[in-house]
Amino acid sequence: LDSDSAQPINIQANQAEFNPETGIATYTGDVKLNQGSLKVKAHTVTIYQDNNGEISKVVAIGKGERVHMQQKPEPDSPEVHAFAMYAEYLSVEQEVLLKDNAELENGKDRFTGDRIRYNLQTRNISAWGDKNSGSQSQSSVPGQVKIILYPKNNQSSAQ
Amino acid sequence: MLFGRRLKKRFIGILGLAVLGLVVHFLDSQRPRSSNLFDGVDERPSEPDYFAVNSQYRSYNRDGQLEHSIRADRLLHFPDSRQTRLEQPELSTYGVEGQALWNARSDKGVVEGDGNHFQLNQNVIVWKGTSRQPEDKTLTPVRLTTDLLNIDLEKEQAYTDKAVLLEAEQGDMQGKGLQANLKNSQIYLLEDVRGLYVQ
Repeated sequence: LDSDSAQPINIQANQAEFNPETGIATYTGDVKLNQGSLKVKAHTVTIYQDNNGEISKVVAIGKGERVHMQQKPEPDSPEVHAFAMYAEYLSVEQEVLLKDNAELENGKDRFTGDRIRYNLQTRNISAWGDKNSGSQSQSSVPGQVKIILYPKNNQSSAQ
Repeated sequence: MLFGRRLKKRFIGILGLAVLGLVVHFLDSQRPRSSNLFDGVDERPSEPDYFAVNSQYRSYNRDGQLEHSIRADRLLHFPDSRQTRLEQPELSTYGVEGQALWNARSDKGVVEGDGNHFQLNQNVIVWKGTSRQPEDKTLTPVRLTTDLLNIDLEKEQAYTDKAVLLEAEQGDMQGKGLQANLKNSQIYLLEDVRGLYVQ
C-alpha cells in the first residue's frame, strides 16, 4: 500500500549483528520482516542506513529457499508475490531488484528470469535473462525471460 | 553354692547392663546429627582490607595514554578473593586520541584482582560517546541496557546471557544474550532477536 513506507518496520530473527559506527544491521536465521502490507521472509536481511538514520537499502538473501516478498499495492488489487535468491529494496527509488531464479506474480500475471526490477510506485516491471548466469531460473530456455499475461477482460472468465 | 548363685546373679546383671549399653549406643548413632551447613567454610567472614568513597581509578598504557577509568560511589577490596566490590560504578574506555569510546554504569559491580575483568549488575546501561546522561536519548546515539554484563578489557569484549535492549538512532533491537567487540564496536545479539525501525 502507499502507506507502507510510512509504517514502522518490524523484524524477527534468530540472531543479529549491528555496528553503530556503520549503522548496518544484519539479521540472520528465519528472518521475517513486516512493514504495513509488505512482508519478507528470508535467511538473511541486512539493513543499510544513510547519515540521517533513514533506511536507504534492505538486502534479503535466501539460503536453500528463495526470498519471498509479498505486498498489496492497493486495497482492492491482488497481492504481488516476488521470489528470488537475492532481493534488494531501494528506499529512495522505491524499487525492488530480484536476482537469481527471480519470479514475480502480479495477480495472475507471471514473470520469470534471471533478474527482475519492480517499481513499487509505478508498478513497472522489467525482466532480463542472463545467458552466462549459472542460476536455474523457471523459464524453459536458460538466459531467457518468460512472461505470462492474462488479458484483463477475460481474467474473470478464464478462472 | 551360695557363693556360686551370687556370682551368677552378678554376672547376669553385668551382662544386662552391657546389652543395655549397646542398645543405647546403637539408638544414639541412628539419631540424625544436626549438620552444620557451614562446615568447612572459613569461620572468619571475608573482611575488606580497605575501602574508598567517591573514588576514581585511571589506567594508562605504556605510552601514557588513558585506556580506561572507573568511578564508584564506594568500593571495598577483599584480600581473600582479591576482588573489589563497587557501588554505583561507572566505567569508561578511551580511544587513542583520548576520546571516550564506551561507558558503562550499574548499581553494583565486581572487579577481579587483575583489574581487567568486570561484572556489572542491576540496571546496567552501556552507551557510546562523551555524554554523562545516557538517559537522554538525544545525547546518546547508541545505548544498551541489561541486568548483568561481563566486561573483559584485556580481550576488549563484553558479553552476557541476559535479555538485552539496544537503542540506536537507526532503530531498536532486542534479544537474549550478547557479545560485543569493544574495539570495532561490532555487537552480536545471540537469540530471539526483534528489530524495530520507525521512519
